[in-house]
Amino acid sequence: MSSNLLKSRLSIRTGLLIAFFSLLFLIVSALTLFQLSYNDELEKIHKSLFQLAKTMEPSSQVAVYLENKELASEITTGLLGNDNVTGVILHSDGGMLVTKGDITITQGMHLAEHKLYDPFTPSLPIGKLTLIPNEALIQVTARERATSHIVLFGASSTCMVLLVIALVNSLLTKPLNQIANQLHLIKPGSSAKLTIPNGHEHDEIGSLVKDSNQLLDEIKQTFAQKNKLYEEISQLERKFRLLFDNAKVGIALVNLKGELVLHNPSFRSLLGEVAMQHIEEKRNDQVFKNFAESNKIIKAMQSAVVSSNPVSLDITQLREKPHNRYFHCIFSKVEMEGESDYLEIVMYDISERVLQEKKIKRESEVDALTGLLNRRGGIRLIEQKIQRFPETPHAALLIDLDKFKPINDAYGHEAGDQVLKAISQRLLGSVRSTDIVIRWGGDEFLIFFTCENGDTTTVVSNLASKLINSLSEDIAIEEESENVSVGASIGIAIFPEHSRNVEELIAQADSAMYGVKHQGRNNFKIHIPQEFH
Amino acid sequence: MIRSIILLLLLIFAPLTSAEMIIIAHPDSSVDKLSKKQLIDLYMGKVRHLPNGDKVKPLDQADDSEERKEFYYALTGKSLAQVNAYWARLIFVGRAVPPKTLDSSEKIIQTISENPASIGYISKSDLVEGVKVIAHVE
Repeated sequence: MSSNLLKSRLSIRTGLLIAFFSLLFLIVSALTLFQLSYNDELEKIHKSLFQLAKTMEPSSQVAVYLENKELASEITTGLLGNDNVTGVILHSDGGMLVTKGDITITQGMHLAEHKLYDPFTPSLPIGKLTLIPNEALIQVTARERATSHIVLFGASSTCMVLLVIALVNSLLTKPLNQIANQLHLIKPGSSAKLTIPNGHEHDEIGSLVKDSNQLLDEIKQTFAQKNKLYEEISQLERKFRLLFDNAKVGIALVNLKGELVLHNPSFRSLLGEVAMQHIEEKRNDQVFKNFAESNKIIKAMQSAVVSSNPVSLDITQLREKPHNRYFHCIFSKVEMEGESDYLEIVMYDISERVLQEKKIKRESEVDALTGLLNRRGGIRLIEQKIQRFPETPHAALLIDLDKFKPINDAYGHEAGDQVLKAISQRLLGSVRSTDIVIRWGGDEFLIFFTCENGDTTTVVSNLASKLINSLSEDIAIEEESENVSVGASIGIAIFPEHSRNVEELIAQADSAMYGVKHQGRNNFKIHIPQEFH
Repeated sequence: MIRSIILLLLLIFAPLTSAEMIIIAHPDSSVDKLSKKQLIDLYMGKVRHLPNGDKVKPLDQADDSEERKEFYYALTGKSLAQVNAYWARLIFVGRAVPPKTLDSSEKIIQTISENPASIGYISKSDLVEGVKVIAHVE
């Protein structure tokens, strides 16, 4: 408690420190001074005894010269009257010895001896005057005098120290305390100011206060600017946040270690919870697993980072229900000053457009009546297929219905359409779903059949026979009591045996089909190359 | 002319030249010669007898006489004031008796001529027949 007070109160600490060191100094000085003063006083008293002896020289000389005991007695009695003298010895070389008081001489006594000379022959020694000092009294006196010196010194030093403490306190500590207390209560950024303690307007304390006030003012201004800036930034931040959170576009920022740093809700909903979970659990290789273009996505991201140019990519999210979703993605590198680079991913849903396009495309390639591919759609798929399996044999079977025109004429177009629909279903039922079935023209159909196994000619012949049988079966017509039936003439050409060109292949099949027609219909014929004719 | 100049010089220097003092005694006195030390001891009251046991009575000139001044100065190197003070101190204590004072050289000579124990001092110039010189001081 007291030590805390000592540390926290400058005035107390200063005062105590000054007092402590002064006391230390005072004690050392006092001890030294006492010793010096004591010795000095001793010496003074002894010297005064010598002087006393000297004062009595003329009388003593006469007394010794005359060997006059009365005079000698008078002199010695007079000298003994001095308190510092316990005994006096006056003796002449002629034999006179007069003593007074206690003349015991002990070791270490400072005897005041004075040699006496003949008053009329100054060079002739005739006797000696000896004063025996009262050493005990002299020491007591010297001690008393030295003590009084010390007391005086101590008193004046104490007054001095108290004066110094008071001055330091009133000139330095108190005004500093006042300033410190004021400063303690001032909140940074407020407009409060320090006041200069009275009488310190022109000294260092005054300039300390002035400078502090200037600093406080600058702090206040800085605070105001900072607050304004902060307000602006947070407003802007709110707007950006609003924009970011509500964007229909998915936005994400990925650092170069592949960690997702930032993303908006749309990104999450577009990518899907499963993918997000993969990201959160750091299984980056799994994230794009349910996208058809997973490899392309990775490459596009790498390319964007390496080339610094934005890379865009359409991707397909595979879903069972209700349908696949399609996203347009833009990957771009973001370079931030003082930070490492990031990859920005912008992703938006283009499913509606893609589906619309697909629908339009599908419609343009499908025959409206039968639901089979039309010629355009069919050829595109054929081209696709031979591109994918260029060395696998494929057979193009061109089928022309026999006796269809009479049905059309007898029962009308409605009935004809029903026949065509029924035929279409039978054709679809006769081949695998991977084979291509096309309505080639009015009553012409084309099947593009892939022969993976077995002897091509045999497989194709079997298929053709099966088709002829299937198509020849009766067809029920609605609102008519009678069934009708048609036949089929089939011309066949084999890829790549007969041609690698689709157009030529179909022309060869067509030519073979005409051959069947000429030879009595309801049969099939495989194209025979020219040189074997 | 020359004689008057010499006279003038003598007049000027007369006070400065210490006249030689002589110590005289009765012609029958046993004393023929006294040392300076003996004179001092006799005149300053230390002794009253000669070494041979004869009593001696020293005679002094008048207090403020030139002879007294010269004599004590020559003998002890002290002024009359010092000599007077010396005696004053001793008289106060008692027992010591200063030399008997006579107010002229003539009276001293006369007293000596009448009293064989007496001795006295006079200027050499005042010396007359009927006494013997036992010492010189200058």
